Amino acid sequence: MISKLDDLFVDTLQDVLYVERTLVKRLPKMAAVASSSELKDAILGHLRESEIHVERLETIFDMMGKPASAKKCEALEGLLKEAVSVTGDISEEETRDAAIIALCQAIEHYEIARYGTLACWAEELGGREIRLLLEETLEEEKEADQKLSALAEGRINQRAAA
Amino acid sequence: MAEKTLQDLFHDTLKDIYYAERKILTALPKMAKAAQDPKLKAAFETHRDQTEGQVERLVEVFGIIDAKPVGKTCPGIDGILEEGTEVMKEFKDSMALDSALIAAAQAVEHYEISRYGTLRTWAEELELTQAVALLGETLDEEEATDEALSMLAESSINGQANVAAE
Repeated sequence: MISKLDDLFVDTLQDVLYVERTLVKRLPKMAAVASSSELKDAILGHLRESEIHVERLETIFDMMGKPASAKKCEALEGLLKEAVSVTGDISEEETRDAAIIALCQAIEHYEIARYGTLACWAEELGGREIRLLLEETLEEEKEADQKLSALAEGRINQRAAA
Repeated sequence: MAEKTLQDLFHDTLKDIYYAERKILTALPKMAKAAQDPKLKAAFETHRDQTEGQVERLVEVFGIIDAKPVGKTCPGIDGILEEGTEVMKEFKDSMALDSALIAAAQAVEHYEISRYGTLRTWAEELELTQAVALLGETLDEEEATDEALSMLAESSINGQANVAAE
C-alpha cells in the first residue's frame, strides 16, 4: 500500500533529480564566468560530482521500481535567476567571484537540506541501501560547501596579507 | 557607471535576507497552525519569535553601513517558500504533513544558513567587526533551529512507522 509519506519521498527525489540534472547543464557556464582558477576548478569538480549524483538517483528510482522522472524545482530556478542577475551586474573579477561563491553555496545548502531530509526518510521507506546512496551524496554536498567556504575565507587572508 | 564593490554586494545581500526574514515571519504562523505534532507547532512558534529578533539585528547591521533597512525581492526564498506552500496543500490532512512541513522548514533554514555565512565572511573582509558579531549570532540560531528540526524529523518518521505497523 502506498502511503502519503511514500509520495512525499518520491516527490522529493524527483525535485532533487531536477536540481542535479539542471546543475549538469548550467555549471559549465558558471565556471566560464568565474575568474580565479581555484573557483573554476571547484565548480567543474562539482559538475563531475553532479553527474554521479544523477546516476545515483537513477539507481534509486530503479531500486524502487519507479521511472526516473524529474519535477521542476522552483527553489533552484529562483536561485539560478538570482545568480544570473547578480553576477551580470558586476564587472570587477574578484567581486564577481565573491558573488559566484555565495550563490553556489546557497545552491549547495538547498541540496544539503533535501538530501538530509531524504536520508532521514529513506531507512523507513526505501531501505538501507537507498539511505547509504543518499548519505554518500549528502557528504559530497557538505564537502563541496566546505571547499567553497575555504575559498571565500582564503580571499580574506589574501587581502589581509596585501 | 560606478563599479559594483564588495560593499555593494554586502548591501544587496543584506536587503535580500531582510526581505527573506520578513516573508518567513508571515509564513511561520501558517506552518505552526498546520502542524499536527504539538512539539513541531511549538518549534515554529519559537522560531517565529526568534525571527523577530533576527530582523532587529539586521536593522542594526543596516545602521552600521549607514543604509536604510529596506528589502529587495529575493527569487531564491520566493522559490523555496512557494515549494513549501505547494507541499502543504498537497499533503494536507495526511499523516505526512508534519514531515512535509519539517522538510520545507529545513530548506528555508539552509538558505538562511548559507546567506548569513556569506554575510559574516564579507563583514570580516570589510572589517565591520560589530556586524560580524551580530550576523554570527543569527547564524548560530539558524544552525540550532536546523538541528532541532532534524531531531523532530527523526521522531516524526518513527512515529509514523509505528502507526503504520499497528
